[in-house]
Amino acid sequence: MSIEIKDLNVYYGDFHAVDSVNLHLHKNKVTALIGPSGCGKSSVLRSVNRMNELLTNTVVKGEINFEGVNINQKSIDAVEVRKKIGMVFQKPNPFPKSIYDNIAWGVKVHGFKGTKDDMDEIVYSSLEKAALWNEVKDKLKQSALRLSGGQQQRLCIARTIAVKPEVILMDEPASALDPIATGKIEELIAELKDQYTIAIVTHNMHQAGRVSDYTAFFLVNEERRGHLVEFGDTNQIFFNPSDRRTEDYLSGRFG
Amino acid sequence: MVRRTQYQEELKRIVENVVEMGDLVIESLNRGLKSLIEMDKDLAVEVIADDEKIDNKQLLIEDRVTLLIAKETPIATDLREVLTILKIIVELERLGDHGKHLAERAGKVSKEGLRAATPFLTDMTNLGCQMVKEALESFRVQDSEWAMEIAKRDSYIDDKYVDLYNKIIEIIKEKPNKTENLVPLLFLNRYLERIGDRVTNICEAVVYTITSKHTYLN
Repeated sequence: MSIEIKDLNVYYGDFHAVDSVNLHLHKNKVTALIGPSGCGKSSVLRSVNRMNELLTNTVVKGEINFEGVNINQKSIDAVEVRKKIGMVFQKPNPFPKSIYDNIAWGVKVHGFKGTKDDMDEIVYSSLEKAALWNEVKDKLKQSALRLSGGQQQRLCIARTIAVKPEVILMDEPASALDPIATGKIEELIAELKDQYTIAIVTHNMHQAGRVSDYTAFFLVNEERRGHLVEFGDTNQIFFNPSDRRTEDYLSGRFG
Repeated sequence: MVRRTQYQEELKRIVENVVEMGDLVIESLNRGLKSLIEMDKDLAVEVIADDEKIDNKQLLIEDRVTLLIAKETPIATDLREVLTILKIIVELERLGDHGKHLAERAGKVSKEGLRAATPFLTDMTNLGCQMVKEALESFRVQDSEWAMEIAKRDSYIDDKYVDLYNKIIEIIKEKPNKTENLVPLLFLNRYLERIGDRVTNICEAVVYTITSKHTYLN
């Protein structure tokens, strides 16, 4: 399912953080959200599955159209939204539980009613999809906290996948990982997009170039409001961006 | 606020190296021509030996560009700019060879043929060298309009080439016994004609850097 963001504005108290963003997250494609710190890209990402409203004094105005419905309204159950639109964070945040339970827990929270075998199937296939199965299949009862950072992050992706989302949002998923673990996450993103629509916030320009099909570039304006400067095919953005500011940012000429 | 000063400074130094390489090429063409016209074998030996300087400059620039790409991973215009440098130095290296070709024929061509050919070869070399100089300058200042204008001058060299070709053929017909010493002039004519083509390639690369569009000038 694609997501159509229309005229999105985010306010943190008096501060107008995101100004009138229109953005399309294409189905089964990876969209990278890039821009300097404070440009609103994470605010936009968190608005998509209504994570922003968990912060006090936050107001999100505008439409997030998903499956033909504007999900940015009180009458829509935010928990249900977050089940369909999952999220992976910068720092891997496994629960202090076993590898198995890390995945099973979320599934149970969302009203799982199957058998033990059904649950095994969900846990195993999620770990396989997250390219972690081979590394953990013999130690599913071991604490998730004993995994390496890269493995923990893939476990978090497996946990997200387990509740069968359609969209996965990733907020700098590899910025706390070493290059090898980063490479694995990037390969995983490439595999996952066959089944999921993905949006990724990253500060690593070359990562955006490698993993995404589309790139959205954000900046702050004079009033310090984050806004979308340019959206386009990633190849075009990296080859010949149409906005001078995009090129300057990609080339590291300002920050 | 402009950042990545280290990148910009290194790029500037590399572009200066390219301009220096261009100067060596121009010197080689001029001195090669001089050795040919004046039948100065000592000068010819020097020109041939000096070709190594041009080759070394090419290798130096290639290494610096490789290192710059490895360390700074340029994107978009920056990337096209460094790739264009790699294209330019290949053309410059071959242009330098033409200087060597002129020197290699010093004292080995028919005097009569040389007398007839000198004004043409001189014109072609002068114009070609001017084009080399300006093409590199257009790259340094990133001026695609200028690059396009320079490439147009190739047709002037082409005209000279046809005129000299016909003249040499005439002389060969008149003096078939001198053919062996006249044919080398046909080769040299051809080499100098190639200067315009190589500069055109450089100009196309400059336009590509700036506009991201592949163009065929001429």
